[in-house]
Amino acid sequence: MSRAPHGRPAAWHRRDFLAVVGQASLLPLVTWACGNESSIQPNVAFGSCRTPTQHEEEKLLMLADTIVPGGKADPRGLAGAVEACPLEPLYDPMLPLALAAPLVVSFLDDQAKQKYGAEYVKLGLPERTEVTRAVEATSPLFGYLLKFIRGIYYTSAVAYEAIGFPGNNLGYINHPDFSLRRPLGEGMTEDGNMP
Amino acid sequence: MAETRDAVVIGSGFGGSIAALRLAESGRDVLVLEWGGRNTAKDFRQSWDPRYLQTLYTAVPSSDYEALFRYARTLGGGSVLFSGMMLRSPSEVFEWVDETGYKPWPDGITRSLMSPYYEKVEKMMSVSQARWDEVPAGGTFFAALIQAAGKKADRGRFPYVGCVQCGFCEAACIYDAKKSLILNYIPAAEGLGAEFRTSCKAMTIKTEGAGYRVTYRDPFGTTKEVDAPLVCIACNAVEDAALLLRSAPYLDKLSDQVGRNFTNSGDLAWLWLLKKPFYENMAIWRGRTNAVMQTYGWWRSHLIHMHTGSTPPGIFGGLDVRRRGGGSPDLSWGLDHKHFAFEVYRNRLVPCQLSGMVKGEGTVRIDGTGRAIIDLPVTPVFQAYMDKVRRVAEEIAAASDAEVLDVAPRGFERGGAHLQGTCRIGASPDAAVCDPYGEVFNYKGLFVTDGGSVPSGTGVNPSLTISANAERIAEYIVGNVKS
Ligand SMILES: Cc1cc2nc3c(=O)[nH]c(=O)nc-3n(C[C@H](O)[C@H](O)[C@H](O)COP(=O)(O)OP(=O)(O)OC[C@H]3O[C@@H](n4cnc5c(N)ncnc54)[C@H](O)[C@@H]3O)c2cc1C
Ligand code: SF4
Repeated sequence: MSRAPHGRPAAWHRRDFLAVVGQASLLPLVTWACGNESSIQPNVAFGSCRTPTQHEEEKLLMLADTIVPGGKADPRGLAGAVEACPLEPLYDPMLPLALAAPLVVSFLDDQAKQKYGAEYVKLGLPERTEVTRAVEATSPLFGYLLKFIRGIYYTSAVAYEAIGFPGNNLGYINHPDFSLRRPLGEGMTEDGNMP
Repeated sequence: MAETRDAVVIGSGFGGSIAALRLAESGRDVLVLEWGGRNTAKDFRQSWDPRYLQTLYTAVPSSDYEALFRYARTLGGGSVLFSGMMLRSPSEVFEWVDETGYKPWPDGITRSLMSPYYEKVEKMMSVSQARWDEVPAGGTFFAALIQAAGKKADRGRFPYVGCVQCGFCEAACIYDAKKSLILNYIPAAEGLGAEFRTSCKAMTIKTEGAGYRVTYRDPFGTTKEVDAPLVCIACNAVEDAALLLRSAPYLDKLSDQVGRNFTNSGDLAWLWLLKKPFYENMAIWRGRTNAVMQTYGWWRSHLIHMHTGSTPPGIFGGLDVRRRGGGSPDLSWGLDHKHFAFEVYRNRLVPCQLSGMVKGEGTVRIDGTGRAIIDLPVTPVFQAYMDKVRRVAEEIAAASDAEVLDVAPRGFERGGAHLQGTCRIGASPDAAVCDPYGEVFNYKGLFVTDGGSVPSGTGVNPSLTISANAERIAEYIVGNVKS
């Protein structure tokens, strides 16, 4: 594999990711609802990882702004992940995914420097999109972080409103348009069960 | 010195709590070890915050990181977190022969043999068919799609009484409207003296005297031991296998099938995108997590069962939604994706969750620390199964001028929470881990009573079949194993 001048592999394949993080620590890193080892059992594998620094947090915000862009980048003026501000879980040391964050930041910077000769945060949205896409293509693991960012965005109050989510509450028991009645019922079943 | 009990049950989900109650009824002194905490309605929250969810769930990605499996880690196991669909497996499941000619369900175990056990569980857990006025909008949309394709849908069955349709079933019910095991089997067993010891994780099982020694970690991380002539393993299919594999150095006559034949019950999930909403002013994502409507329209022809869910925004956010074969959005994130989500989320996306019969070709292994690793490769058999499902999904879409959206790298989401087969029952140790009554081959008094011993996918959502099978095994133990 070719090596970038700063000493990291130029293309991050999953195998490289595994080598860097170490197989043992991978599971907790990517299991966002983790608990595979609960709090009753300290996980030694975490020893090799750390939570993001403030500088890295800023880069993570840029990643979030790439995954769900907002502000001036959105001609429709719809709030993005950064405005919706639900991003604390990205840094929360209680959530193992936060421990993967510094590594992800370094992947993004590596790609950005290689492609555009600048740090990820210095790039515009189209360039960041391209860099992020390239990093995503090299590691399915990266996809977990993307899912996580999308997940926290879509559960924010801002997104609920914009997306038209009515909130989890009463169904359509009294809805005037509610028209589902017997005719759609399945003749094959007996009270919902097959024989 | 090790504590001594008549019976130790490991895990308090469907397979564990049912065994615990029946053993306690038979006069045995029962200890249940449960990895998760003693959480009840007062501890539950109406929240999808991962920091809350991790107090109840374990999530493990497949070894290729393509699929995510999730299961409960709390008193009452999956019954606390599931979305409540409790269906009897159709007769064909018990007669099914897999793609290699193997019949997973032992001869003699048929739907009619299982019926009394199904009934027992349904009574204990107050399972009934949802009323028509309990069908959320998502169910209405689903039924309309199925009807347009020339088939019918019907209401599913749930252990729900007084459900207010708040939509947080998978975050646990704060109203106790979902009649989880913590409201029936567990208090009944406790009333008969069974002890449920929570935040205790079983690490290994060894033979000891005429029985077994279970080593576990207590809430303070201290290693403890308990001896019993009878041990029921019920940690869910993944953790059952991990526990037996950790114990393999001490149980050297275990079948080499432990951890093999793992199936996700053929679960696949996707979204249909409607060109126009069926009902303009109706938001789909409202009401209980499982939107009630199901169809057996393709059961007899394809051995698949479909039902609709609700995909609250947090779950939607976890999907890699993009258009198949080009079209915007082609990325599962970014500006196009966000605009697309805002346009279609409210009333143009209809979710489908499918179960079906396909050979269990997955494996559960352990790493150097004893943790479970799950392989669920897309083998030619599984690919053919996905192709078959895709044709049905497309057929339904075409009838309504809708579109099947990709929601994961291979199109369908194929992880899930329906986990079976790793310690399956069967006629011989060459092909199975347990005999037809769930007793581990070569180990008298050691049983697997939960999803791990269920030998195949269940055709429909599995909890009721796992439970009925646990009732069947428990009845055998009570009648045949001396205390
Ligand atoms: C979000 C979600 C939604 C679902 N929806 C449905 C549905 O609508 N219908 C349906 O039929 N099914 C549904 N399921 C699946 C269903 O919940 C499972 O099939 C079922 O719970 C499996 O039962 P079990 O007894 O095999 O294991 P579980 O119910 O998972 O119980 C196993 C228990 O063992 C404990 N345990 C694990 N390892 C150890 C150990 N080493 N020591 C001690 N304890 C241990 C766990 O903490 C857990 O409490 C759903 C599952 C989930 C997660
Ligand atoms: S939808 Fe019904 S069963 Fe589900 S959590 Fe709300 S009240 Fe409970």
